[in-house]
Amino acid sequence: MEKEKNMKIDVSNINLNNSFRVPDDYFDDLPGLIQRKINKAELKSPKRNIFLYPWSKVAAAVIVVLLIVTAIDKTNIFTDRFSENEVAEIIDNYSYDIDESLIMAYIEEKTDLFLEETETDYEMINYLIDEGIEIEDLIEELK
Amino acid sequence: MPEYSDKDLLQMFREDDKSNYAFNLIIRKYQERVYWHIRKILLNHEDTNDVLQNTFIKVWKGLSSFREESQLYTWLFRIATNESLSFLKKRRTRLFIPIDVQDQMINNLKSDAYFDGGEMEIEFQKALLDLPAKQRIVFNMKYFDDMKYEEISGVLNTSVGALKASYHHAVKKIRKYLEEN
Repeated sequence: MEKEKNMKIDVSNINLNNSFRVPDDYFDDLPGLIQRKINKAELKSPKRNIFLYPWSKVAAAVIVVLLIVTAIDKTNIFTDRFSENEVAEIIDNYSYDIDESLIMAYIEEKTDLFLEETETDYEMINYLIDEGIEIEDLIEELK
Repeated sequence: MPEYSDKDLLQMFREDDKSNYAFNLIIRKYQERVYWHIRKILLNHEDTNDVLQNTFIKVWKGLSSFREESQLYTWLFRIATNESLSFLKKRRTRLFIPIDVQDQMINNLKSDAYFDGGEMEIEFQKALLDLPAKQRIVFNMKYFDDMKYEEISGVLNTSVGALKASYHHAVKKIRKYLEEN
């Protein structure tokens, strides 16, 4: 009982529920807005095989290595092979506009290591989510 | 509008001619819960709106591969949580002026047209912002959303024991902050 009491905070004089509002009709309009954004993005970048381009293979390979390094952590195999500047240079030159889902598909297609544990995009997405990994962040941090 | 189960919605999504409709229904079913989850992390409506839209766009991209090993809402909350944390992280790295992210968030909250709270509410938010981001999320989910530890565990991929400890520490820290301020 005492423990339960210790878990409470007296916020009776704080009106939190009515302090935050949303614009009128916000939730009525949101689904349509999101759907339009998705349609626009899909029209803008129709599905194409970016792996036909050599730069994308290099970029994807770099990111695959980064992901592997992150996954197995604490083993400095990547930094043993490339200096930080070299990594930054490769990423600067090759990483524009890469779609994460395509990278995931590439990882799935090309790497046995990840295939063993992550057989689908969903698992790969979950892996990235679990680890809190954002490709942009990885690139940003290595710049 | 009929209320479909998650299973029905996912099944509908997998049918080519119904995927847009099913996705629309999924957004309608979960948008408010996910919105308020993100809003409690980011506080400001505009930031929340951006992150919420990105969350659902990611859901759209991943939904066809979703294998129902976890519940749909757990998966949605997990994406929303990580999107929110990434947003905060990006903001931290983009700040070149010497101002705390916490201070910036409080300033944004004060100027948010969709926040009507007074000094007490702002002080309470300051107390919450004093917590590490993940601990603040645990506190929000438990205290405000009254979620079970098992559910939070599914979203944050953290053991129930660790969550209980985290929540307990959060309560102590918030209480201490409020007593001192």
